[in-house]
Order: sequence, then structure tokens, then C-alpha cells
Amino acid sequence: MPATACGATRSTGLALLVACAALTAGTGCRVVRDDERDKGAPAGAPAGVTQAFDAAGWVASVWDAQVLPLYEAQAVPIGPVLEALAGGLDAAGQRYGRRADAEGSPWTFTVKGSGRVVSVDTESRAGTMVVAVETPTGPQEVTLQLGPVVRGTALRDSLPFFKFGDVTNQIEFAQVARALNDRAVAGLAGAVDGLRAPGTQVAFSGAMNLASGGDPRQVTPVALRAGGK
Amino acid sequence: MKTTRRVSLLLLASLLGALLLPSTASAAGKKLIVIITPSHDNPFFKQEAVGAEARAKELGYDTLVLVHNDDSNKQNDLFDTAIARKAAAIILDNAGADATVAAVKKAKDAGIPSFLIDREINATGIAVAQIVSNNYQGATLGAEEFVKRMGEKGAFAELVGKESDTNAGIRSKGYHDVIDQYPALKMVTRQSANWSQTEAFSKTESILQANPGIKGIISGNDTMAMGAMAALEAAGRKDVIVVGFDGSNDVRDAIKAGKIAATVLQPAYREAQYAVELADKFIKTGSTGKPEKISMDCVLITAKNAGKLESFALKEK
Repeated sequence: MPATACGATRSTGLALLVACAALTAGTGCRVVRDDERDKGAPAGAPAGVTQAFDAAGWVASVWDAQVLPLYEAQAVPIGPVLEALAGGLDAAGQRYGRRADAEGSPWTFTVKGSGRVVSVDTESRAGTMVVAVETPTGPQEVTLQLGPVVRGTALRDSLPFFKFGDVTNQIEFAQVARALNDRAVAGLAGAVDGLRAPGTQVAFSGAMNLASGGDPRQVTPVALRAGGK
Repeated sequence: MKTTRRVSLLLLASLLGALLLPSTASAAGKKLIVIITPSHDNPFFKQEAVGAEARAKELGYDTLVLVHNDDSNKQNDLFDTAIARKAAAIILDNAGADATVAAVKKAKDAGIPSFLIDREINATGIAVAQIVSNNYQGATLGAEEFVKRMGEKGAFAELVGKESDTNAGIRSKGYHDVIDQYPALKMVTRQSANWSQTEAFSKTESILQANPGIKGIISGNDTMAMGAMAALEAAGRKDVIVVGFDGSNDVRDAIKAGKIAATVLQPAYREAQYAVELADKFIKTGSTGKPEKISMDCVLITAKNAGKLESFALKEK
């Protein structure tokens, strides 16, 4: 059976991963496979899909303990990030962002900011709120994803304690992204209704992925409330 | 006759010389990189081989390019060849997530490092690197564009690849991860066309007869998207949204002509080159300096950026 950096086997569960991740602070705790892999996958499931992997459970266990604190402690003001982006994505990324150790990966920015609501679209299932935030060179619009459908993997990619090699394959990697997005949307529930009027002052924190400098400034928020300035 | 015999002997000698030449060259210091992919009939795999070979030659290696045709037994034989030729490294787009593990291990035991591209295997610690085309991420990009172009509602059909191929399932799952979040989008049928253009053509013909109300077809790869497009044209249906996957030049041209809405580029050429660069670093220093598993994101191709696409690579500016 494959061993783990933390001495936990797959069957002892994700809770240990969480504990390990907390203890080792990103020193490479792995979700570990064992011989159970591929068993119990329903007919028609792609090869390599592990039904035992519980992405939502893992996310539930790290959300309050690690994800929210990360955003409180490490989010950078979005104004200077937007300004830096005008000078080139790579330069801005090196200064304010993080990127998986692979060519072609997007830059991920963990940001916080505030601004005035420009518009809210909840007709689309991929709901959005456009906010004009102040930057040193004037206001710029960013789009906050409200869900229920959230695009992209920015939240997952923002976590320094989770990486591709921690799971068996790209499907589990994606399941973590989806579970994080779903958790974020659940946390926004109810917050949006009081903020719909254009001009409302809002504050937010969240993650933004940019694969090229021309990509839309789109943030997946983990927090959104009235206020800020 | 004496002269004849002498000529034959000379010929024989020169033939032998020619046969011996590659190993002589290796003996002179050039190391060998063996590049193994599925059949080059699919231009995607051909570009992988072309990209890897070009980079290996630039870096001063001899190359041997082989195809396994998605047959893991044949792949096993090719690994024996690489081992017999004392390859310095193997670049591999593999023939099965489970079946490949033993072959890669055999090479490792013989001291030959393997560098995987495109598809991952269900084991770590055996290959030195696995550069994985993130098909799932790519599929969600394609599906997001499909949903947008469909206006988040309406009937659609899905063409799935060869069911035995891991990526057929991964892409389908990625599509549904997005599409199934839109209750007003109704899938009327889901059929495999085995990655084949001709099969996709006939499947689409019958789908259109049975479901004339469909507004979209989402396809697991570009060759099937081309088949679907041809059937739609034959039926005079210009209103149906088609999305493919791979980023082939054929579909690029169809996007430019407004016949296909979008595809998803897997950076096959660059991925293969990157694998060779990691192999070169590993050969020279004993380490790639990177984690074994590296995910490479796919890129959405629409009318906006189709002009920059050429042979599975996106040219910036």
C-alpha cells in the first residue's frame, strides 16, 4: 500500500489530511490511494474515477479552519493588483499572485476590495455582480460570481495547501474545485438580495484566475457584504 | 563473374555500414530519446511526436519515433525496443491508465526514465513526470461556452468518444458537470461515435431525424464535431450550435466560417516539448526540479482567438 507523507492511509480518511495539512502547513501532505481504487465506481463511470473520494467533505472540513482564515490573512487589496495588471500579467502575478508549478497554469490572485454595485444579473444561472472598485488610476469594473453556477477553479488554485499531486487524477482535482465553488455560493446565500441596487457600497474577498492578461477580471467571492469604502 | 561478386560485396559492405550508422552515432556520444504515441492518423498525436522530436534534436539527442495504436501489448513491445536500444529517456502518450504501469516500471527497472504526456496513469512514483492535459478542465470550458451559446436552454445531443478511452468519459463528465446545472438544457440523446468522423456523420443524421428540435450538439472531440457539422449542413441546419474538443486546424477553420461555435485546445505540441525539456534536465542533473504530476490547462477556442491557432498551438500576438 502506498505510504503517505503524514502516515495516514486513504481509508483513514480525509479528516487526517486536514489535520496533517494544518500541522504541516503545506509541506506536502497527500491524499493517499490504496487498493480500494476503482472499486465501487458505477457502470459507465470513467476509468480512474474513485467514488470513495469525498470532495465536499474535505472542503467542509477545511473551509472554516483554513480557507476563510487564508482570505482574512493573505488577501491583497484588489486596486493595486488591477493597476499592476496594466503593466503585464506575469509581472503582476510575480508580485501579487501565485501559480501552480507548471507552464501554462493561470495566475491566481487572492484579493479583497470594495466598491459600488454597477449591475446584478441573477437571470443567468451563472449569476454575476459587477462592481466598480477604486484603483490608484481610477475606478475599474470587476465581476463577482454569485452562482449557483460558478465558472473556473480560482478558489481551488488559490489554496497553498492543496495541489494536483494530492489527489489521484484530474477528476478528483476538479471535484475539489467544484466543491469549493459550491461552498462559496452557499456562503453568499441571502447576502445578495440587500445589495442589488446600483450604487450600493459592497466589500468582498475572493479569488481571481487569469490565464492571459486580456481575461475578464472575474472574482469568485468567499465573502460579500454591505459596506467598505 | 568476379567483377559482379566484387560489386555485390561492396554493396553489402555499404549496406552494413548504413545499418551500423545509427549505433555508431550513438557511440559518438548522442543519447537516444524514444518517443511513443498513439497512431499519427490523428493529427493531435502526430503533433505530439513532431514537437517532441524537434525539441529533442535541438537539444542534441537522437530520436526514435514509434506508435502503439492504443494497444497496450504493442506498447509493451515498444518499451522492450527502447530498453534494448538503451534509450536515455522515453516520452510517452500512453495506451491505458492501468495497462501502462507495468511497462513504465519495466523501463524504470532498466534505468530508463519515462516522461508521460497528455494522459495520466493510475500510479505515481514510477514515471519521472506526468504532464497531464487537463481534459476535465477543458471540458468545463467547452461546456460553459456551449451553455452560453445555447442561451442556457433547449434540447441538445451529445456525441461521446470511444467508451474504452479514459478521456471519452472524462470529457463527458466535465461537460455534464457544467450543463447539468442548467435545468432548462435537456439532453435528448447521448451516443458514442467512437471518435470517428464518418460515424459521427451517420449518428447525427439519425439524431436529426428522431429529434428535429435539437438546438445543439456537444462533441467529445473535433473529428466527431466535423462529422456532425457535415450532417447538419447536408440537412440544411445552420441553427445548431456545435462544440468540439482538441483544437484541430479543421475545426479552427469551421469556427472561422461560423459553422462550429467552439473547441478546446489541448496544447499537445508544447506539452511534448516540455516533456523533452524535463527529460533533458533529468538526464543532466538527475532531477526535473518539478513535481511528478503537472496539470496543463486547456484553452477555449472561439471566433475571438481561432486565428491564432495553428497545429495544436496558440500563437501569442
